[in-house]
Amino acid sequence: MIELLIAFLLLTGSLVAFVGAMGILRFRNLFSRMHAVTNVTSFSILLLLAALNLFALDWIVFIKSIIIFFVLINLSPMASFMLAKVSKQMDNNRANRE
Amino acid sequence: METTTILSYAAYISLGILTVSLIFPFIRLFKGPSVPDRVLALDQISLIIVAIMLVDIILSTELVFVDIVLVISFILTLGAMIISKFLFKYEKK
Repeated sequence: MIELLIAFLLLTGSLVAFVGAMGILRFRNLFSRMHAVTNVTSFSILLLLAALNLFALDWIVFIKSIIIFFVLINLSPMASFMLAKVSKQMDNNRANRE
Repeated sequence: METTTILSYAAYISLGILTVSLIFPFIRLFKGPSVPDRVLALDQISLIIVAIMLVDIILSTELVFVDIVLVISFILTLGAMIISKFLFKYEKK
């Protein structure tokens, strides 16, 4: 019974990652692409970590996966924030040059 | 803690989906109009690689790889931050 739950979590996580990967190609400007990368792919990592924990049922794996998820959920928005700052600065430089 | 038939089928299908979804960030990496688009595509590629490693742990039942996933997710996400910090310093002057 728990195998079906693990299989469902695996397929849902990979489909969510697929949707996020299509978002980086289909969206129009940089900021909406940033939304696709940061939100959708972190959510797919969360689903895959839940599947791994249901599969392993181990305390050490649980603590390590909590660390992985907190690293990803804190560092990925920081990276996208700094990229947004870079993009705004590039636009300002281009406006000053003209 | 044993990979049964249903579980290995699901793991192979999700590995296929993740590998196909690795194509789109590569297209964005090649034709991205600006530099932040390319850095964002690299970030997306690293996240998908972390997802592939998480599926491979279930397929091979080697729980040691969780440490490697931790270190790789930390380093690759920090790499995008460092590249964008360098770009910001380069654009500021």
